[in-house]
Amino acid sequence: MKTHPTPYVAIGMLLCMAGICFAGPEAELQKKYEEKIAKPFVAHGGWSVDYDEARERAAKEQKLIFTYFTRSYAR
Amino acid sequence: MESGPLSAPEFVAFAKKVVAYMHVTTRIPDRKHDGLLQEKGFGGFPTLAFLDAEGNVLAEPNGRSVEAFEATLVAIGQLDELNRRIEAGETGLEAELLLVEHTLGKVRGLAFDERAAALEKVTDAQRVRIDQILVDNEVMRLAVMPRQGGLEGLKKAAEGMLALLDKGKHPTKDIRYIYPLWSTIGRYGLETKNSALLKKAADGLSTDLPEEEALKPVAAQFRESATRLDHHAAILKRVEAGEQGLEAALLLAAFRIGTVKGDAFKAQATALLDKATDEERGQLGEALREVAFGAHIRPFRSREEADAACAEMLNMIDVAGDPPVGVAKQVWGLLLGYATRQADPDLMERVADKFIEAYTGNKGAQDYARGIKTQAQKLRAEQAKAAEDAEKAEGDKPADDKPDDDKSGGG
Repeated sequence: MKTHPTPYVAIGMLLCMAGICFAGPEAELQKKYEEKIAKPFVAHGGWSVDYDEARERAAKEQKLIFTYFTRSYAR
Repeated sequence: MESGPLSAPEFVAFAKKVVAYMHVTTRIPDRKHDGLLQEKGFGGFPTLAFLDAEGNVLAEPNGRSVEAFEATLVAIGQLDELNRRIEAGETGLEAELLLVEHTLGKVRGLAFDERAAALEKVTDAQRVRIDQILVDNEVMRLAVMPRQGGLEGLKKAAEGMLALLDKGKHPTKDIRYIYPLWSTIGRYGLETKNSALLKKAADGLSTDLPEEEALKPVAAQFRESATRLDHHAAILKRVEAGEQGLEAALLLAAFRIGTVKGDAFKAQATALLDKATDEERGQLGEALREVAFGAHIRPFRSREEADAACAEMLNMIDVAGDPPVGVAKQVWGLLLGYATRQADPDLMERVADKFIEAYTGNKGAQDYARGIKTQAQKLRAEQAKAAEDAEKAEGDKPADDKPDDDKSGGG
């Protein structure tokens, strides 16, 4: 989504300034992913996290896929 | 996003009309579809998009609200329908097609304006929608002027926006337009020391998007600056009316609005310390400390230079206490980066707490500092484990590996 820079950008810049982005080992990345999908908004919206399953359902139910691209490796 | 529209009660109903799919980039090696964001031609987080069942990107929502998601979903259906009618030979659909394509983000800015100007058949309802988009586009065009033309560009942008408002043309109440509008007017108010403009910008932000957390600190900053300008003007008026003994108050007020700063302030404040009242002396002392901290708040050419400045500021804090409010955000912000670079969990936690205090009312900034505190706790645990492992390894060493002086003792 393209937007004009907002105050969110300033917070993002602060994150970069601090230079904190520790990509840990695989187990740590897996843990972060599990923490991400356990967040309350995921159950609230009934999000699927499986791309193949989402496409199958979209074809079967004749619906579009509303995709939210996010990440778990960094805060 | 996650605590906003995606957690809104109305999102549940919207999600039932689509297949809601969350793609998480994990960076876990060889994880299936982990690079989907790039595969679909996107590059940043967060990104929202409508895909068909084959995975083709159809559109991005034209806003970050459930209402905008709904409107985009409807527009995708409308575009299909319009294309079918046009293919079947129906005419006079240009205005509707343009509006639907705009909703889907397929036509923006000048391209929209040009197609809108060429339309021959427009209903009243379509005209209202088109005029609103033209105003939004004009605001966005004006908003980029300061980036190209500096202060003169800022002046042109703010004057152009004020002229639009005077004509009753107000952009859509969406952060994409409201923030550029009022922040440009507010920044122009700051540059020109115009208290009325600052208040107008602060009121505009608060009135147009009262629930938008990200705008609250901006409005507060504009209001605070307006108050300082009014205070300075009031003291100046009293001085001009012949009132005596206001030198320190006037100097402090001038310092607060930035007309006297750095070494010039230091010289004048130092000269006034003797004749100032106790209260004024305290305020002048705080302002002098602010100047001292301010000397370390600047763009740095290297990490070493930044670290040296941060170390000096930490020393100043240890000697004379926390930085004054006027520079607290910048100081704690720099020190948070420094503490993290030093991988010092105690310092990370200490600075993060102060950062959270300095950023009262700014949830985004506070959440960031809370994240640093969590990292500090993990780091402490990792460091403790590493120390424990090292100690254990030392204890497990065979006798032959022990230092020579252990083996050679006695005889």
